[in-house]
Amino acid sequence: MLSRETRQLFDLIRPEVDPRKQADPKKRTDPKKPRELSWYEYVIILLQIGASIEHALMVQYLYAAYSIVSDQKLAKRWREILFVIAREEMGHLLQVQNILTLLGGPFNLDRGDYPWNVPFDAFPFQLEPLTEGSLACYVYAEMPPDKEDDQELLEIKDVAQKHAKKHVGNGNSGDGSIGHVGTLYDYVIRILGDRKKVPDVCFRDSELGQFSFDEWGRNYKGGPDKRDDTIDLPRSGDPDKRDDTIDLPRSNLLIRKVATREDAIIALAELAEQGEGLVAVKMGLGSTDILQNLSANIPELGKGASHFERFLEMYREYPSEDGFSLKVPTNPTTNVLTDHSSAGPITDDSRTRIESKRSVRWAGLFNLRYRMLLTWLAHALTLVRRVPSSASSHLCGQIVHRVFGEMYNMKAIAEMLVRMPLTDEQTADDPRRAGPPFEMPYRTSLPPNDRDIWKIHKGALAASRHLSWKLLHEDPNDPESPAFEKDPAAIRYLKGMKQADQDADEWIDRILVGLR
Amino acid sequence: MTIKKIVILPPLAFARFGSHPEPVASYTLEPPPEDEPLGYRKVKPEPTLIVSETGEIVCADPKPKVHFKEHNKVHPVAPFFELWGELDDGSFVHLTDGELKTQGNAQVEWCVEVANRKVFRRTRSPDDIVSASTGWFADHKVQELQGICRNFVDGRFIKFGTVRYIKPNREHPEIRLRFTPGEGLIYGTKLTDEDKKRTKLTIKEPFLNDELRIYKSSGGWWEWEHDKNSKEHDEKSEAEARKRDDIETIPPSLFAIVPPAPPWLNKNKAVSRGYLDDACDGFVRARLVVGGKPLTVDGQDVEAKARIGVAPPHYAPNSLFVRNLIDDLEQAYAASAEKDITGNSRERALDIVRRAFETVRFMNVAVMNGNPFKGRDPLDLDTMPAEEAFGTERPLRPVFAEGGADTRTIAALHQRAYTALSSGSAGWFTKLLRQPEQVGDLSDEGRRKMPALMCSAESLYLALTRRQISAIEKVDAPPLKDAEPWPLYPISAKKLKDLRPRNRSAELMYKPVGNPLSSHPIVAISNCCPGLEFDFRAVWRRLLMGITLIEWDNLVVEACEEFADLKGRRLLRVDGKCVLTEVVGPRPSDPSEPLPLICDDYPDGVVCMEWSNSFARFLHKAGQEVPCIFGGKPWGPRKAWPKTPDEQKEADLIERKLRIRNFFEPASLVISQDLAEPGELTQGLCSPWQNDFRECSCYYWASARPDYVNVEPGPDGTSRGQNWMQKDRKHQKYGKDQKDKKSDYIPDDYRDSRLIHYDDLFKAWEKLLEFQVDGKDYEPERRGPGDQS
Repeated sequence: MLSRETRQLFDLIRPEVDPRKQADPKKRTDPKKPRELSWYEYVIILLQIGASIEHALMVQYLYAAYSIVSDQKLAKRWREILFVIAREEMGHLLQVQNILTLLGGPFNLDRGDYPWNVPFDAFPFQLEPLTEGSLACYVYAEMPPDKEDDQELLEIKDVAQKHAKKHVGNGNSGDGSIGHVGTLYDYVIRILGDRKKVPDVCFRDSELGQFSFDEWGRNYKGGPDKRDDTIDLPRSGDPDKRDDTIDLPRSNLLIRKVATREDAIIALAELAEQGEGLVAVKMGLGSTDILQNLSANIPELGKGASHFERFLEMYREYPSEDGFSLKVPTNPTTNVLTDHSSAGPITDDSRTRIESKRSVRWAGLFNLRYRMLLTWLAHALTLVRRVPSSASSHLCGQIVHRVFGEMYNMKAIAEMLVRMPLTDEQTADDPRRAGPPFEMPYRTSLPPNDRDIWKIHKGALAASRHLSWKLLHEDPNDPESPAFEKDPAAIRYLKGMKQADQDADEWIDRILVGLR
Repeated sequence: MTIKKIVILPPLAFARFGSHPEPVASYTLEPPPEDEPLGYRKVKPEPTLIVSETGEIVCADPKPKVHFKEHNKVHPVAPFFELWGELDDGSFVHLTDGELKTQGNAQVEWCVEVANRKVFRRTRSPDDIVSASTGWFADHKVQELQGICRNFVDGRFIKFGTVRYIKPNREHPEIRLRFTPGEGLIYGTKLTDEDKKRTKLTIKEPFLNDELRIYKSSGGWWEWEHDKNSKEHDEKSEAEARKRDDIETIPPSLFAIVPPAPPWLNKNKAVSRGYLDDACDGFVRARLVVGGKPLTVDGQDVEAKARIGVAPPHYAPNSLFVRNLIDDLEQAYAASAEKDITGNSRERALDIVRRAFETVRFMNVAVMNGNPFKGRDPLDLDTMPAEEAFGTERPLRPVFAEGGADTRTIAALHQRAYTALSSGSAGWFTKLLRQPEQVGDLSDEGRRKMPALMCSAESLYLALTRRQISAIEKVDAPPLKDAEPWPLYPISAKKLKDLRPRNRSAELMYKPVGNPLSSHPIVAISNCCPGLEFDFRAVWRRLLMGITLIEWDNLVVEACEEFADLKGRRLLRVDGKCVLTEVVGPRPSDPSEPLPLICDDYPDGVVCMEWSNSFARFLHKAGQEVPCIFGGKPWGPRKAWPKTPDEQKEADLIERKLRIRNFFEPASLVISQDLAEPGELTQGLCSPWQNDFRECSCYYWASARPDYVNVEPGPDGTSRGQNWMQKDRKHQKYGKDQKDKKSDYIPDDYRDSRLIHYDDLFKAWEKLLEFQVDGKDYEPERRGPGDQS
C-alpha cells in the first residue's frame, strides 16, 4: 500500500485494534479520523479502499478458480463456487461505486498489483492456486468476528497464518497477520450512521448517475431456479445425466441504487452479510439511533449463502492431499525487469516471472484485455455520472456490454494460460504452468473529453491488433513468417478476437465522425 | 445382387415457390473463411442437375451461378428424391437402372400424394380438403398435381406443382424423381352477382383473375368466421365452440380477412376473404414392380416413402435459425433411440451460438426489446413484450435495460461469447438458458434467459430443444468413445454411406446432388407459432394412441371408442410428468416477487408446453403403455394440476394407460403417417402464406422472415438499418433538391403506407420481397454467390 494511504489510515491499522472488541458495542473503540481529513473525505477514502479490496478479492478468487483442474467432479463444483463468489465481489465493487456516487466521491477502479497488502486487511492479496492454505485464508478473512473462539476455526486460523507468513519477507509489507475483510465496512457503517460525523448535506439525495441491477446483474439473482414440487423440472434432454454444478446456487449480485444515507448503510450491510453472514453484521452495527433503527431492515440472505459459509464448506471437503490445482505460479508477472538478485521496485520472491515466450505474449494480451475492460467500465462510470449528459451518454448501455465482452475474452485467455508452460526450458512432464497475471494498467483515469476517451479505446484495440499479430507470426515484421502460435483452438480464438475488434474499431470510427 | 429394401432419400424435403422457369441452382453453405470466423456463412455452388424436355439429366453444371431471384421472379426450389437400396451384400447404394435390371427387370413406380387442409382446419368441413394424387406411374412424363376439392367449382383445381420420374441415361443412371412446386399463387372464391352485392370487401383483387377463382361461395370458407353465431365470446360459448370442433389455431385468424387487419387490433373481428394457396404437404412413394406385380421380399412389398412440404422461399439463404426443424427431428430420433449427445458437444454448442448471432443480426433489438421508438409508444409496435402485455393484460415492460438493446452490440456480445467458446473455454452460460418448463416465466429474470426476444410455439418466450440445451450443458465433456459426431452441415452420399451403418439418423442430414440447401429441413424453423414450412406442433397430436390432441393445447378433441370418455377432457400428466407449466410474472407492487398470471389466455395461470420438448421425455418408450392422467370439465378451459383434495375432486381425474406411437416409420427416418396424413403438417399455417409474411413479425423467425436489414453503425453509435418490409429501401428522395438518402428503419405497423401491406403481397410478393445475403438486399443483376464475374 502506498505510504500516503497508510499515513491516512493510522487509526485502522493500529495493532491494538482488536476485531473482537469492535464486534461488541460496549467494548468498541470509537472511530477516529486522520487530522488532515474531514469525516466526509475520510469515508470516501475508506469506500475507495473498499472498492480496491473488492476488486482484489474478485481477481484473487478468479485466479484460484482458473487454477482448478476441472475434470474432477468435486473440483468442478468448487470452481463454480469460486466463480459465484467472484461475481458477487464484482457486484460489491459496483455497489461501492454507487455509494461513492451518492456521496459525490470519485469512483475507484484501482488496486495494487499482487502481492498487495492493505494493512488492516485480512491477509496479503495473492494470486495463487487453490490450496488448503489459501482456502484457510479465505475462510478466516470472511469469518464473522463472533467466531474467534470456535475451535475448528482456530485451527483454520492457524493454517491460514502459517500460509500467510510464507509471504512475509517476500516483498509484503505488514507482518503477515491476518484480519477480517468486514472490519472496513463495519468502520464505514459506523461513520455513516453518525449524523454528527457525516451530515445529511453530504448525500446527494438522488439515484442519478448510479448503476442498476438491470444493467449489470445479468440475471444473477441467487438461489436455485424456482421449482414447483408438482411440476417436474428436468434440466435438459438428459435429466439423469446432468452436470452437478447446474443445481448449485447462482451468484447473487447485490447491485442497487441508493438514494439516502440509510440506503447506503443497508447496502453496505448487505455486502458485509454476503461476506460474513448476518449475525456478524448485526453485531457490528453500532449504537447510534440511525443504526439501531436500521438493524431490523437488513434483509437476510439464505442460509449457506455467505462467502464464509461457502468457503468453510469447501475447506471441510478439502482432501488431505493437494491435487486439485494446476501448478500455476504465485503472482505471475510479465515484467521483464524482475530481477531476482536486486531489491528494486519489485520485491521479486513474491512474484513469478512468466518466462516462456509464447506464454508471456498471451499474458501480455490478457493484461491488455483487462485494461480494456477497466477502460470500458471507467467509461460507463463516467458517462452515467456526467451532468449534463454527454454526446455519448446514450451509449452507456452498449458500453456495459463491451465490459462483459472483455470478461469473455479474459476468461478464454486465462483458461489457455493455465495450460501453457511457465518457461521454455522446462521438460514436457514439468507441471509448472503460466497463469493470468491481472496486472493493473498504468492508470485507470480517463480524459474528460468524449472524443479523447474513444481514442483511448482505439489505442487499446490497436495494441491488441499488434499483440495478436505477434502471436500469429514468428517474426512480427515479416507477414510471410510462419505462425508463432500453433494450437488450432488458440489460432481460432485470435482470429475471432481480431475480427470482433475490427468491428469495434469501425463502430468507434463512426462515433468519432458523429462527434466531430 | 438382390435388393432387400428400398429407401427414398431424403426422408423429408421442401420445395419452395417461385415463378421463374428455372429452379434455383444447387448450393450449400460453408463456414465463413478462417480469417473471418464471425462473418457470414458462404453460399457454395454445387453441381446442379439440368433436366431436359425429355426428362433426362443432360448435364451437371459443376459450378453454377446461384441466383435466388432474377427480374422479379424467384427461382423455385425443386428438390430431387433419390431411390436407394439395401442390398443383400450389406451395401447401401443409390439405385440405378442397371441394378433394377438385375432384379428381374424391376420397374420403379412412383406415387405422390399431397394435400392442403388449411381451410378444413378452420371450417372442419371435409368438403374443404384439397388433395392431389398422381396415382402410381412409371413413365417419365411430367405429372401434374391438381388439387381438387368438393367445394371447388367444377373443373377447377389448385396447381400444387408437378413431379417427374427422371429418365436414367448413361451419364446419370440413378433413379430419382423431381418435385417442382407451384408458383405461389393465391386462389379465391368465385362470387355470384348476389355475393358481389353483399360482400364487405371493398378493395380490388387484381391478382384473382377468373381462372383463379375456384372456390364456391356457398362452400363456407368465404366470409367464414370463428364461432360466427355467438354474440358473446365468453367461456360458455368457447366451450360450446370446442365441443363442435370450432377451435381456433394459435395464433388465431391466420387467414386473409376483410379489412381492417390485423384482427387483434380490430376487436378480433376476422371474416375470411375465402383465399387458398398452393402450399401443401404429403408423401412421395416408390415401389418396385416385376411383371406388373409389386416385388416382395420376405412377404413384404418393397416400398418406400418420403415426405414433401411446399413452402415459401427461404429469404435469408446464408443464415440459419437458432432452433430449426433438424434440431427437433434429431431430438425425436435421439430420444426414441435413447442416445446420448455424441461426440461433439462443443462444436454443437458453437453452432448454436453462431445461429444465435445470425438470428440477432436480423432483429432490430432496440425495437424488439420493447423500447420506445422515436417517441412512439412501444405498445403500438409489434414485439414480444407487446404480445406478452396483450396476452397477460399487463403493462408492457422492456425485456432488458433499454440502453443496451442494440442489434450490433448484442450481436457483438454473442460473437465474443462464440470466440471465447471456440478457444476451448469452459462453458459458463448454461444457467442463462431457458429450460422448456420455464417458458411461462415472464418475470424480468425469466424473460432475459436465452434465446431472448423470440416467440415459442406456446406464444411465450422461446426455449431451445432439450437436446440443444444438453449440448451446451455438456460443452466441456470429452467426446464419447467410438461415437461419430453429429454432422452440423448436410452431408454427401459418400459421408452418408460411411455414417449410416452406425447411425441411421445420418439420413436426416443427407442432401442429394442437385438439391439446394433451401430444400433441407436445416433451414426450416421449428418454434412453430404457427411456423413457415410446417406447423410442427401438428405432428404430435396422435402420439398417444387412441386420442387426438389439439396441436397447441392439452385438449383431447378425438378419441376412439375405448377412450371415448376422454374426449373433451384435458391431458395433465404423462408418465408422471406434467404437460403444463405455470405462467408467472412480476408482482406490480414488488417486481422481485412472482405472481401467477391469470387472464383469458391463461385462465388458471398455466400453459400447455409445446409438444416437441414435452413429448421428447417419453419417446424412448414408444410402443409401451404409459400412465396418463386426464381431468377437467368436458370442453372446459385449461386448468392447473389440482393440488388440494377439493381441486382434485372438482377436476374429476381419470387415469388411463395409453401406448406411445413410434415417431418414425419402422426402420426409417420418415415421420410416421399415423401421426400426420397428407396436408396435416401445413394445415395450421396461414391461408394464404403471404398473409403470414405480413402478420408474423420477425420475433417468430427472424432469420427466415427478417426484420432488420442493411444494418451498419450509425454516426451516433447505434445500429442503423431498414425494415425488410419497407417498400423502398434503396432511395428516399425528398425535398426540392430530390437528394437521395438511404431510408431509416420504419417500425412495423399495419397502416404505414411505406411498408408492404397484405394486398401488396397478394399482388406482387415475388417482386417486393428481397432475399438477404450477408445481411443485405441481394442484387442478382450485379452479383450472385458463385458468380466469378
